[in-house]
Amino acid sequence: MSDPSLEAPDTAGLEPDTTGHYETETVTEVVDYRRRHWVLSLVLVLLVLLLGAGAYYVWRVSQPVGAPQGAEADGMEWIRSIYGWGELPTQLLVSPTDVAMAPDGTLWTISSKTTIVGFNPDGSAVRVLPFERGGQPGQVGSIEGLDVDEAGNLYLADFGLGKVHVVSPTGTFIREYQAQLASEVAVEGDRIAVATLNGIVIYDTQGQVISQFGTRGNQKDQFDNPHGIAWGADGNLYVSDTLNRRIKAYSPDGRLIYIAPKSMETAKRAGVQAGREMTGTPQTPYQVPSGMTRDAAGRILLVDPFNFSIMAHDSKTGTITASFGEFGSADGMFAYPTGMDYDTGRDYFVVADTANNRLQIVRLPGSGGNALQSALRRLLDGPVWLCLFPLGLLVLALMLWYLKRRWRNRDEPQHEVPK
Amino acid sequence: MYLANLSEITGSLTGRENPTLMSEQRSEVVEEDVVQQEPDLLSSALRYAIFFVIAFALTGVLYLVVTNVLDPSAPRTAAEAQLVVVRNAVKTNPNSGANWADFIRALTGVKQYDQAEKELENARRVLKKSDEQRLLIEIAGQELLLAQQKYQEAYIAGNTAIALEKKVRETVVKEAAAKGLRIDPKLLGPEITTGVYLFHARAAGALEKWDEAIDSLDVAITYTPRAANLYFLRGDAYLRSGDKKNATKDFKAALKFDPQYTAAQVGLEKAGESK
Repeated sequence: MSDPSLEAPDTAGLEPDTTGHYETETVTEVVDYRRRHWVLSLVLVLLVLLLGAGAYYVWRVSQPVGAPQGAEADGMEWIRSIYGWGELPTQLLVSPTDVAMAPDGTLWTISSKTTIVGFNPDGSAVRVLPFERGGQPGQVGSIEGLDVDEAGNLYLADFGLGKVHVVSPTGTFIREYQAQLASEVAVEGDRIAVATLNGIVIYDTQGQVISQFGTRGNQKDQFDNPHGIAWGADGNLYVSDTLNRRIKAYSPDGRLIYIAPKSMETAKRAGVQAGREMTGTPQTPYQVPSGMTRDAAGRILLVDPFNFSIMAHDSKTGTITASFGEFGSADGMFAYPTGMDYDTGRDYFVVADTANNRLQIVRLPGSGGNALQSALRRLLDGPVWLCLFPLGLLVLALMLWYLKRRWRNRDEPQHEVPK
Repeated sequence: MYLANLSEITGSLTGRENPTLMSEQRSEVVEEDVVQQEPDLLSSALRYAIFFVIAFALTGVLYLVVTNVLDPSAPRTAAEAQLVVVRNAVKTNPNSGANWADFIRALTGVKQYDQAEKELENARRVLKKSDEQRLLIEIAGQELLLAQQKYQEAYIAGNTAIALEKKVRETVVKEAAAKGLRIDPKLLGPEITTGVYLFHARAAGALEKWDEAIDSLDVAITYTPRAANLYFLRGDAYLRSGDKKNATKDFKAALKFDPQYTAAQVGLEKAGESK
C-alpha cells in the first residue's frame, strides 16, 4: 500500500515544468523534508514541555512549608521570611531591631544587639559578624540601628557605647563617630544622619559634625527618642519622633518643613510632657513610629511596632496614604516590627519583625519600582531562574544550529543552471 | 534555506530554458541537497536536543547543590521555624513526651502526615518505658488521625488513650499514697485528660456515636469547666442526637464564656431558641 501523503502531494512553493507536471521524485523528497520538519518541531515542543514540567517540579518542591499563598487583603504580598542562618538555636535571629540593604542586594540585620548578619536575597547567609560586647576597640555595646553606604560599609548605631561604628562587610572596624545614645543611622552619599536620644546629628564621612539640631522635649524643634530616620529623594531628612508620636521633615540645612500630624499641636498646648505616656491624646495615628525608609515612588514609609503595621506617607505633606499589616506570627503578619528598608533593584521592603525573631520581605502596592527590572531580579533570586538558564541554552543551541546550517550552505558549491 | 534553493532552481526552469537539460539538472541538484542536508538536519537537531537535555539536567543539579534549595539549612517560614524549634527540643531532650508531642503536632499542622507518623513511631519506641510520657504522644497521635480524617482509627486510638490515661492516673495516685500523700485526681494534668477525652469525643462524633461523644465531653468538662468549645461540642452532640433541651443549655453555657462564639449562636438558633 502506498503512502497516502504521496497520493495528494503538497506542491505549494513548486512550479510545474513546461509540460505542466511536477517531478514525482522531487515532490516525494519535499514531502519527506517537511515531515522531518514536523518531527523536529515536535522534538522542540517536547523539550519546552520538559523544561516547563521540570521547572514546575522544582518550584513546587522548593516552596517553603506553610508559605502563604497570594497577596493579603490590603495588597501586601509576602515574598519570604528569614529566620536565621542555620537550624541550631544559636543560629536563629533574636530580636532583630533594624535592617539595611547593601547596593549588591545583601541584606544586613542585627541579632541579639551584638551580632550582624548578612543574607542573600534568597535568604541564604552571606556572613555572620559576632562582635564581642564591651567597651574596648573592636567591641560593641548594644547595636540598635544600622545602614550601609555605597561602598558596602556598615554603619552601626551603638546605643550602649554612644557611638556609630563604621565596619567593613568582613567585620573590620574602620572608624567611629561619637553619638550619645545613638539609636538609628541613615547614610546618603557623604552625609551620615544619626538619631540620638535628644536630636539629630549629621556627620560627613570623616566623622566631622556638619549640623546638629534638637533637644529632648515635645516642642516644635524637640525630639524624644527618635528611632527612625530616612533621607528623602528630595534631599530632605525625615524623622520618626518616636515617643512624641509624630514624624518631622527637615530640609538639608536643618530647617523644619513640617510636623505630622498637625493635630499634635493640640497635645503640645495640653502640656503633655515628653517621655510620659500620652494616654488620652487620640490626635495622632501613631503609637510609636519607628524605622523609616523611602521607596522608588518617593514615599516615606515607617513601621509602627504597636500598630503592627507599615505606614506609607506622602513625603511632601506627611499624610498617611496607606497602611499594611496586622498583628500575628504567621508569615505576612507582624509582632512589634521596629526597622525596615527598601531594595530599589528588587522593589521590595525588608522588615525587622522584632518579636517574631525574623526578617520579612514583602512587596507593597504603589512602591514605584521598575516593574520589569524588579520582577526579573526577583525571579533570579529564586528557583525560577532554573528555567531561565536552560531556556537561554536552548535559544543558544538553536542559534548555533541555524548558523551552522547557513555556514555550510554558503560553503557548498552553487549549482548554477546553464542558460 | 532548502526551500529557497528549491524555489530558485524551480523558478529558473520556467519558460526560458531547455526543459530536458533543466529537468535532469534539477533532479540531480535536488537529490544532492536532500542526500547531503536532510540526514544532517535531523541528526543535528537531535544532537542539540540531547545537549539541551544534558544542560538542563546539569543546571538543575548544580542549582540544587549550590543553593541546597530542597533541604534549606535555615527555616524560611513560620511553620518551618516552628518545626526547627520543636525538632531541636526533641534532639535536646528525647525523653520528653511533651517535646515529641509538639514535634508531631507541628508536622500535623503543616500536613506532613507521613513524617508525623514516622516520628510518632519513633516516639513510641523511645518512650516505651514511660506510660506518662507516652500518653502525651498518644494525644498527638489522636490529633494526627483526626487531621487525616481517619475517624475509625482515631476512635480506637482514643479508647487506647483513655485506658492509658486511667492507668497513669492510678499509678500516680498509688505512688503518692505509698508516700502517705493524698492527691485529688482532678489536679493531675487536667489539660492532658481534657485532651484525651476531647479528641475521643471528636472521633466518636465523626462516627455519629453521639452518646459516647457526650460521655467523653462530660469528663472533659469536669476537668476543664470553663472551655466554651467543650460546651459547644457537647451541645452540638445533643442537638444531633435530638436532645434540644440539653443542646440549648450547652450552647448558652458556651456563649456565657465566649459571647462572640458564632457557631454557638448558630447552634442556639438551630435548637429553636434565640440567644
